[in-house]
Amino acid sequence: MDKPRLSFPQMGDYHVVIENILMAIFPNAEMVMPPLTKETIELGTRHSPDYVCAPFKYNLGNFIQALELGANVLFQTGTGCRFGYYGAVQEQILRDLGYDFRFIWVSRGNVTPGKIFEEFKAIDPTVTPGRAIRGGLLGLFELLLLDNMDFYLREHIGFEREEGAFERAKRNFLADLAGVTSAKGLISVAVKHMRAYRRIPVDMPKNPLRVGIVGELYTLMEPFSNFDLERALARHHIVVSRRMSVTFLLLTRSDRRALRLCGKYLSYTVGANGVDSVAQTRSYAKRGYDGVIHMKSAACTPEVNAEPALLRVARDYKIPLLRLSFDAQNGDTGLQTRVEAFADMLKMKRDETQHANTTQSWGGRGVDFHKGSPAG
Amino acid sequence: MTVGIPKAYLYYRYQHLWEGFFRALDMEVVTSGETDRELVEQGNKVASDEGCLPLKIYLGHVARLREKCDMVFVPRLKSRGKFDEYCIRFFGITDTVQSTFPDLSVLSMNLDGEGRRGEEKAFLSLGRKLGKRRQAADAYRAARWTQDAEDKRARVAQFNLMQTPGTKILLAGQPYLLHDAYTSGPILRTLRTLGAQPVFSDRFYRKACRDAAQELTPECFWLINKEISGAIARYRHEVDGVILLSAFPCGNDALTGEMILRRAGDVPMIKLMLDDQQGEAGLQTRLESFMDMMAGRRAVNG
Repeated sequence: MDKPRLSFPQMGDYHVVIENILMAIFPNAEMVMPPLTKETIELGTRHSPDYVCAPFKYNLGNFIQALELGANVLFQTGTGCRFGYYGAVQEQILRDLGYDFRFIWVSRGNVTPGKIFEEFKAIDPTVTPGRAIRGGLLGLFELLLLDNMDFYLREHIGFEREEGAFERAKRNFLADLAGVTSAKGLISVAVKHMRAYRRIPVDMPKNPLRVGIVGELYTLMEPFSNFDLERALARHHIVVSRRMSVTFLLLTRSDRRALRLCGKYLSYTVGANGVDSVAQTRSYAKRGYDGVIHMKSAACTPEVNAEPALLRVARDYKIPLLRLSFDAQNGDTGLQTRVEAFADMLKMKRDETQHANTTQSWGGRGVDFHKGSPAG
Repeated sequence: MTVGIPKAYLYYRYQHLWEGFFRALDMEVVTSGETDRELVEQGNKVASDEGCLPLKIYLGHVARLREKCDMVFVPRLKSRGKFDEYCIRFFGITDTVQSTFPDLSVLSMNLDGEGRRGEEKAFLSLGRKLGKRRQAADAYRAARWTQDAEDKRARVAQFNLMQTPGTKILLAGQPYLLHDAYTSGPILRTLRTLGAQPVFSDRFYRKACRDAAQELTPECFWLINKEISGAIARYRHEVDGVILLSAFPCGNDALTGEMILRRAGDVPMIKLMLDDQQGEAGLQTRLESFMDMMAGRRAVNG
């Protein structure tokens, strides 16, 4: 086999971490990672089945662009819902388009560590288990750092004194993170950039508006697919909390705990992360958040399953709930209007309650961040 | 006590099992009758905009049952084994119904286990819930026996039909689309007037179909979709054409349908999409041209 040229689907900033892992495992490989653009989604849509969910189209677009640039090894995972079957269909579509590549599909328990390792060996015969484990572990800690930094950023970016300060800091952080090759390097990056984040001056009011974000994970985590909704909220000076992240998905989520948090609103899990959406909406409501935004790609079955329960939670706890559905063809003007209206509504609601009860201390807790704690 | 069973979704697969079980426990069973326009509209009002057509139909049936019974049986169907899962919709159907109709008394059952043993366990715990622990085992066995016998009867009837001369069209899709007169009625009527005999993908030996699914949809883990693609894999050369029936916006069908179309394109095949605004005229035209194409193909191939 010629020089391995690896690629995988984009999601948010996680490509930095995954690239690091793959580079640690395959030092003489090359990464082919074309950025996610309008063209990606057009390509993906053109070759996808009609009404498949949007993440499928994004991933397929990523693959096609990478193959065009000469990638010859593609990675895809698959768990939970329909996502568990993406790989098979995508491989078939790409083969029908005439591309030649090796497809490594890590999915649903039918793949054991031994099998994956064999595949790795086929790409690069020099791979050793030690190298793979070391790379994976380091990647895991990079992931934890990235998610924690993002928690801090989301809750503060709306109040930065100098516009763009956080974004600049984030860019620097990602650039440094991409160069990490050892635990020591990771620690110094963590120390340096956490300090840099905390040094950015913010004008945080005592009781800022707070919004929790829940929903289907890809749409939440890929800003391109939700038209940068989090940034739009930040522009309205809103604290954005989002507990769903890759860390959450891999490490901290548990169906049992989520079901307990759902109380009477759900008696069974409803597929993928639907149960988490309901559990988190309820806990945001209990924490006195001003609103919750539920995002999903259009017709996402687990989230549609969760919807009736979500509406019930919102009604019972009197918390405003904005439901957004994204597919590949949305324009973002409609979205901006809806987000603006939602933000205005939250502000008005807040003003009203404060007029009505001027002595009310806001939940008695002041600003109640979950300080970057990724726990569900 | 009266149990209501909505005549939608997997009622069309487990009718005798469910009804038989409750009857054997000396309970009265009512079903919600046939689907009609008014019922779909009723379901449309309460269902999520993004729910599939069968979900709207299901909720319509539940709404219709509300007054007629003490509780409505809404089983939660998850899996029959690690790689035999039901549609994700059925994972949450109990909660969807309960949240949509908060004051409705819902009787649920959680089916999530390996094969027949998993099923038996689910029914035993349902029996305990009803306070009929002792009769439950016998009731389940009797109901299972009836269901198996009925499945076999349908299978044999279809097998005999396949032996008769004439044009055969394989209708492949979820059982609640194939056997609900509202969704498949117009298609069946049109096919019969055009002189074709429909055969159904769920009236073959299901286990063999599941095993054969590997050819068209490898690594698929949806029980019913496996049976659909397996039926096509096994029988597509014994029929004259295949109609893939799917409801908008069914996610499982979108993915497996794509695989089937790409891998089994060697026989005449069309994909028909059902939604709640369908008109019969367009359907007829499509079916007519499909039949013409098949006839032309036969003339060429002899």
